[in-house]
Amino acid sequence: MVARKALPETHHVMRYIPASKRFVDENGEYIGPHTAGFQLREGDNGALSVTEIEHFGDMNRATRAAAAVAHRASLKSKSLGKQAIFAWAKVSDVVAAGLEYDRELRVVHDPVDGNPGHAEVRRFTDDDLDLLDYFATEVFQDYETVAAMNLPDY
Amino acid sequence: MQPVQHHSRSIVTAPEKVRPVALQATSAPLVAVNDSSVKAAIFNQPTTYTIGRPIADRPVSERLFIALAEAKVWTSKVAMHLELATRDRLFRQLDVLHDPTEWADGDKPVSLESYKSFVRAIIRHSINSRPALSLMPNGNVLAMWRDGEDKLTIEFLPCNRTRWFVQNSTPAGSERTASTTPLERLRDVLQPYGAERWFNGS
Repeated sequence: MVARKALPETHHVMRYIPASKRFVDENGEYIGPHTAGFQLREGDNGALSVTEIEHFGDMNRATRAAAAVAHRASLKSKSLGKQAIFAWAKVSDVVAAGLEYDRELRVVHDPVDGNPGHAEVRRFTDDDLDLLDYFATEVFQDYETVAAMNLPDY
Repeated sequence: MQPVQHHSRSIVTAPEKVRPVALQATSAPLVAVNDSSVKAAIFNQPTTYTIGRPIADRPVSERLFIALAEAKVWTSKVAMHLELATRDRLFRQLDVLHDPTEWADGDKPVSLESYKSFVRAIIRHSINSRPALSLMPNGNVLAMWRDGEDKLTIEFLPCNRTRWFVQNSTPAGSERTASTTPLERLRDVLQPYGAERWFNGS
């Protein structure tokens, strides 16, 4: 892996989680994400793929939308599910969560085509169900659906 | 998709049948066939052919439909052991989880063997609570129960096996426990964490 600059601990990163990685309650309504949202995907290339929100300005709704648009631009399909979510966490909380599981996680800037704010959580492995659940429910606990973000059309 | 009626065969196990090529209409005049190798080639052909692509090569919407149909047809075979409301709730949750417009590339639709384990658990352990459901990327069913801050998550594996995770509040702080166990022992191993509150819910 190429050496990359670590993100400031006060910054935030957000991860795209498809609706299929959310629970559906008894009424057929989507609720929160689950462990599979933090399993490494093909596009993760061995590290947890996220987007740095502050790369697009101060942390707020507009910059989260800008980060979401950048993430979409990096996808082959160029499309996001409306019930998919972007879940975000502070970099310091991600690092602290790793330490609880004896992992020295590093969150580094790693721009990709279409998404200059792309970042990676390195030294992250998805073999510990407990860690994945902790990420899904305690660390990346804030989220917004794509539908609610009112993103411009691609 | 609405709940399906009872069917005796799934659409996967009832492939479309067509007449053998050798018997289809032709403009060529019929002639006597004396060559034994030609006769063998014609009459030793199988009588039915399956047309269509393998499931893995079909469009996402078709693959999702087939997986859903298989799960629902199998459910109909054990429907006598399930309350109608339970069956309808499962179908409703499965339908939402298989929405083609929300489907993620690379994910697999519900695994029938995992789904069987899930329904068998409901029947065997008389689970009358209403867990939230989801799917793992490999299609395994994931069920989650909440009780305040406490949470039980079970991944139902094929062949009546389960992988579970409990988050439990104690006076000394939060406990997080994970393990795997055969389906039949599920209630026993979850007893220390209060299996009743998860499984005997309203």
